[in-house]
Amino acid sequence: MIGILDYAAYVPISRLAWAEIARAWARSLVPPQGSGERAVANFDEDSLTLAAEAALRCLGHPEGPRPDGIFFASTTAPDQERQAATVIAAVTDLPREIRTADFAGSLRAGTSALLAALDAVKGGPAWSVLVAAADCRLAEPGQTAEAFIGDGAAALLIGEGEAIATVEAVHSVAEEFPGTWRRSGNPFIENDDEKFAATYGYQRILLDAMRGLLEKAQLTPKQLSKVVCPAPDLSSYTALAKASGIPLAFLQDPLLLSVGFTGAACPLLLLTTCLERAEPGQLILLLSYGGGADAILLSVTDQIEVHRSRARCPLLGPGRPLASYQTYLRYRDLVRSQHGLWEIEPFSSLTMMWREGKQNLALYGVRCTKCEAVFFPARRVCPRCDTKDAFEPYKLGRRGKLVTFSKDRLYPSPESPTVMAVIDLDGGGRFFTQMTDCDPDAPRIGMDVELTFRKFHESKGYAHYFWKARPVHPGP
Amino acid sequence: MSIRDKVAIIGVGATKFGENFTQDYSDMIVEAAYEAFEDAKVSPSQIQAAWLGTCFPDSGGYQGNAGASLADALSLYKAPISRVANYCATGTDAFRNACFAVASGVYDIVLVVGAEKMRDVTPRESLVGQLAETGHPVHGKGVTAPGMFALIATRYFDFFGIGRETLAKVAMKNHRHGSLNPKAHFQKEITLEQYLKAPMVADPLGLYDCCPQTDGAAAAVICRADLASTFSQEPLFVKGLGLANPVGDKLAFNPESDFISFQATKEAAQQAYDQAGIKDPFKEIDVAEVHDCFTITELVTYEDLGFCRKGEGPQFIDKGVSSLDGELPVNTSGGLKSCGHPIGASGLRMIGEITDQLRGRAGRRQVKGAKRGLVHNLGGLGAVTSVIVLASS
Repeated sequence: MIGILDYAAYVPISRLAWAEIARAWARSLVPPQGSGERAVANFDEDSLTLAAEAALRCLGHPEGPRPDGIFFASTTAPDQERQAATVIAAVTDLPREIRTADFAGSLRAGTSALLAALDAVKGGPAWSVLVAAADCRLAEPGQTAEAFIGDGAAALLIGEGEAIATVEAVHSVAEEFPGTWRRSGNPFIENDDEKFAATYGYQRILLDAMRGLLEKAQLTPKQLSKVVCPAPDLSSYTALAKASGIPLAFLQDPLLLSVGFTGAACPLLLLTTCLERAEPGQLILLLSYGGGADAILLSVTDQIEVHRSRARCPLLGPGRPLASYQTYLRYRDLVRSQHGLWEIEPFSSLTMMWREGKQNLALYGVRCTKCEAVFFPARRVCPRCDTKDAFEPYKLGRRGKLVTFSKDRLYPSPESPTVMAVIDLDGGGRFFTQMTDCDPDAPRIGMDVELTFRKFHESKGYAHYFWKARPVHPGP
Repeated sequence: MSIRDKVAIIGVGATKFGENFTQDYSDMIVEAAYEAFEDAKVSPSQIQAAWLGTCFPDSGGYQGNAGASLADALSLYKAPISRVANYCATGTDAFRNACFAVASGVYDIVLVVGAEKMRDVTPRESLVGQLAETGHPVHGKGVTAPGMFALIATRYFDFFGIGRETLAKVAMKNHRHGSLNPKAHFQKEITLEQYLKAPMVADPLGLYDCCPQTDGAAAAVICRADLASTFSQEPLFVKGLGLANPVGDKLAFNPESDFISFQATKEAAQQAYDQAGIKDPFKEIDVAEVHDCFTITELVTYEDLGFCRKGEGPQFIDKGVSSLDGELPVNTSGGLKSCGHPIGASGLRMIGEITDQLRGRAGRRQVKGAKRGLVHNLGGLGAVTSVIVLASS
C-alpha cells in the first residue's frame, strides 16, 4: 500500500501578534476581523533548519523505516546552489546511496515534492521518500502580508507499507498567473493587483483543480470529510470558501490566525494537523496553489489509530510571544543592531567542515571499545584507558541535562545574552554549545535540554550549521 | 632530579601596564628588558640566550610570532631566542623553559621577556575577536573568555551556595592592592556599590569580575644559582616549577570536569610543592601572585593551591586572609584585576612582584618578612597551569 507512512510538523516557538505589528507601524495593517499572531523563526533558523527539525521528528522512531530519498521543498532555500535535501539527509544520518532533490520556484513546491515522491515510490527507484517542506518568506516591512506570513515546516514519509493515508486521485493544473512572485536577489515577495490575484488567480484556479479532481474521482463535495486548503490571507480564503460551496465545518483550520501562511510548507503542514484528528475511512482533499494548483485526494486508513497510539511530541508545540516587532526585524536580519552576528566572521576551514561532516551534522561522538567512555569531539587515544584507536563512532543522544551555563553579553548575537550550556547527554558524552529558544532566566543546573539543529553563522559566505540546545519543555 | 636551587633570579623589570597607546610592542620590550638588565647589573651582551613569551602576536601577527621579534627589539642578534606560547600561562612557561636551559648548564645567564600588545585594536576586537573569530568553527562557538569562567562561577555558586557578594570581595581587595601599585593599569579602589551596579559581562560575572585589556611587557634575568652572588646581592632562588595540562584544551567537553576546581592547578602546585619541599602551603608560603583573570578564578585557586580546603575559598576571602594585612596576602600587586592582563607579560610581572616582595622593596605593598613566594598562572579554561615557588635563600 503506497501512501503516507508518517508525518511531523515543526512551527518555531515565537509568535508575533498582529497587534504588535500594528503598534510598531502606528496603523492597522490587518482587516479588523479578529486578532491573530504569526510564527516567527528564530534568528538561527532558516528553511533548511525548519525542514531538518520536521524531518528529524518524522524519523524520530528508532524502529521506524529509513527512507531512501529526501525531497526538500521551499521558496526560500538558503542557498541557490547547495542542496538542502542533501544537508537534511546528512543531519538525519541517512546513507549516501539515496535520492535527493530540492523543489522550488512556486508555493506549490511542497505538493510538487509530494507528488514526485509518490511517483518515485510507484515507479520503483525508491521505496520510501521523506518530503520535508519549509518556508520562511519575507514581505517588505510594513506590508499587510507581513502579518499573514508564518514560518514553519512539515515532513511526510511517503512509501510502500502500512500507510496512514493513501492517495486516491490527483489533479494538477499549471497556469502562469501574475499573483505573487519574487525575483532572484529580492528578499521580499512582490505582488500587484491583490483583488485580481485573489479572485481570478487563487479562487478560480483552485476551484478548477478541485472540480477536476472530483470529476476524476467521481465524487461530490459532500462526500469529502475534510478540505485542506492554504490561506494566504483572510479575505481570499473566506471568498474561496464561500465560492466553493463547502461548509465551513469541512474546512481544515488554515492556521492563519495562529501560525500564518507557511508558503510551500503550508499544504503539508495543514495536512499533518488534519491527519492528527482524522478517522479511518475519511476522504481528505488537499489543495495547493502557486503557478497553477494541485488537488490530491487522500483516504485515511485504519493505520491512523496505530500511529496515534505511539508516543510522539505534540505536533505543533507551544508558542510564546515575541518581545516586539523590533525583535522580529532583528531575527530576520532586517535591521542591524550593534553587536550582531554580522559583525564577526568566525574562522572556518571548509576542508575541516567536510572532514567533520558526519560528526557535526549527524552528531557522532566516539566510544572506547575498551572502557566505554564516550567523547565529543572525536579523538584517537582514550584519555581514560590510554588505548589507541579503540574508538568506534557513537551516535550521541539529543537529550541531556544541564551541568552549568553562562549568559554571555559579549558574544555578538541578535539575541543577547548568549546562553552557553554544558550538557551531559543521555547515553554518554558531554556537549558544550549555545542555548536557543530559551528565556535567559530559564536555565537551571540539572534542567532537561535537547539538541536542535541550527544555523550558527556564515563564514566564507558558507552557512555553518550545528547543534544548539533548548529547554525540553519551553515555557509559554 | 629537581630544579630546586639550580637557578636564580638576579633582575626583573616591567613597563607600566595599561593602555600604552604611545608605545609599540618593541618599545615595551626595550623598557622591561633594560630595567631588568639594570636591576641585574648586567649588560645585554652578557645574555647568552633568551625566551620570548607572547601568546597572540599583535596587530594581525606583525610582531611576536618568533624569537626574532625580541632580537629585533633589543638588537640581540647573537643570542638564540625561542618564542613560547601556552595560553595565559605563556609568561611563566617561557620562564620555566629558560630555567631548564640554565639548569642544564648550557647557559650561565639568560633573559626572559613576556610581552603582549592588546590595545592597538579595540577591546572588542581584542577580547571578543579572540574567541568569536578564532577556534573551531562551530564546537563551543559562542563562548568568550569571561563566558568560559562564568561556567565555573555558575556551578560554584550552585554547589557552595554563595553569590556575587563573595566575588565582590576579591575584586575590592585586588583594587585596593592595585591602588598601591604605580605600575598597575587601575590604581583605584572600588566600593561594593560600584561592583554591584556595574554592567554584567557574562553572568554571573560583571565588569569588576573581569581583568581589562592591557598592554605591557615584563622581563627577568636569570642565571646559574652558583653564579648568582657574583651578579646580585639579593638573588632569589627557584625552588619549584610545576606545569600541568591534565584535562586538555576542551574542558567544557570533558566529562570529568567538575566546574568547581581546576585540576591543572592542583597538579602543577603538587609538582612545585614536591620540588620545594612544601608540605603545608598555607603556612609555608608568605605571599602569592595568582591568576585572577576573573574573580572566580582567584576564589577557586585558593582551594586548588591548598591554601584552604575545597569550599573554604569564600571564608578565606571573607576573613581577609588574602588581604595585604592578612595571613597569606594574595595578589599584592593588585593582580590581573588591577594590573591588567597582557597575556605573555602577566606571568613575568607576577614573578617580578614576588621578587620585589622577597627583596623587601615592594613599598607600600610590602608584606613584612616575606621569605617564600608563589606564582600561579593559568591558561585557557584550566587547560594549562604553571606554579612557581621562589625563595630568598
